[in-house]
Amino acid sequence: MTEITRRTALGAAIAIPAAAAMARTALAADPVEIDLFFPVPVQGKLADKMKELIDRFNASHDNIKATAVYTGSYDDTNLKTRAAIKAGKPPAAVIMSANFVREYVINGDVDPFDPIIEKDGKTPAAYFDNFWPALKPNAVVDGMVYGIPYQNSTP
Amino acid sequence: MYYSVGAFKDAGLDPDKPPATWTEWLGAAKKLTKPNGDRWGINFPCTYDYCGWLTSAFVMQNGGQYYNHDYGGEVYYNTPSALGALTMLDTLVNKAKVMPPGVSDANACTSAFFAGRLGMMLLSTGSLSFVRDNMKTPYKVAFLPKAVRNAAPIGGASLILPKGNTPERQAAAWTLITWLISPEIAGEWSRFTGYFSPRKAAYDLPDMQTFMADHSDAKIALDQLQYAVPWFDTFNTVAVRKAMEDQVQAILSGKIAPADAVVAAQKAADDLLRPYVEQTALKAIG
Repeated sequence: MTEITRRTALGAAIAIPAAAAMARTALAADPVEIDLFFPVPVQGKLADKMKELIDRFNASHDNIKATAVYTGSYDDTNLKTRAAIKAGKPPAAVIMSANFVREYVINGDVDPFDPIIEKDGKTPAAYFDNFWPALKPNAVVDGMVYGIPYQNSTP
Repeated sequence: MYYSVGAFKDAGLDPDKPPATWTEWLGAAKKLTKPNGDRWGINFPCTYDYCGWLTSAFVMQNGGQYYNHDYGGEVYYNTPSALGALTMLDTLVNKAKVMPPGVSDANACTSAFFAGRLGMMLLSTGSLSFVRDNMKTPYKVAFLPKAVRNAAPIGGASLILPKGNTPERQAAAWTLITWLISPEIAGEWSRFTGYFSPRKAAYDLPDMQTFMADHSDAKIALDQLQYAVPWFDTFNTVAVRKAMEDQVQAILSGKIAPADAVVAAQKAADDLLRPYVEQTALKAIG
């Protein structure tokens, strides 16, 4: 949608310069649009709850417009994420089966969280102390944080 | 592990003493099982993904590592710990006949459990709220029964940042992620689903403390964390996982002996891992 908005603005710029100036002003205030792929691997009404959470996030963040995209099982979410990356349209974030993170690292398809955590003034190690230590082996690969645990289970 | 209090009492088992070892598990399952499929002792989903997760649990409970936790190029399928685990499954289904033959999905397990036709089921913590909302008679939750040791593989999902996004989109994604895993929202999601919250501070909040006091079943997964082991992750994870899942499914359907299954699983996995192994562990140094 962001792309279409920009093209529309560009079209206006060629036709009417004054309108273009207004469009550019409007563009600066436009929220950043992001998409979040999310799976539901268990029974229950988790997809409805996720959409409710994202609505609440958007209502409290004027500068961001997040869209939750339901992508099926863990395996389906993996396939859809790969396809999106391959097509050059990666989602901004994905809730990915915790045990697939290593393979994304091996394939070079994910960015580490370390720089963004450091920007917030924390060391990645200190940041990860927010989570149960048992979650670390599937999230920290080669000493870098590639996964932020979101939902966890045992049988 | 979820189990039915009514079925336990009916079978002469003490609901306050769930089976703690594989031997006790089989013993309880025998008592719970009624003829003609009227009630099964044990069942668990063994569709793809669930099957590999639970198989890794059995192998690790049996003392195994299942896969190399530090290097994505090795799995330990043809091992005594895996053979023992698959033999245990073969016993449950084909010898003792306390578990339905063939591959069940999660729906088959929960619908039988809710209808009183299943005594014990292995299912994710993430299904806890679904079970709580749908089970009309008392049930309890217990640790997985152990063999050589207690072990419970971590399951669930993590937020990742796919490559190829602009810094602007990545910064916005980070804002969303930070919000989603804040103690307040992480706690809310945990209470809604049954997943335990990965964020430790979620459990310090009043809403969560009230909830945990009211729902003793939610505490088992947290307690079981002391025995947590990492979740199967390798190069080409899904295909390598399926190499074992296909064999376990064949055992549940009575189509292969455990000793042949572990050999076939190892060979299929090694073939799938070879491209990565050749680029890494077997890469020539000169």
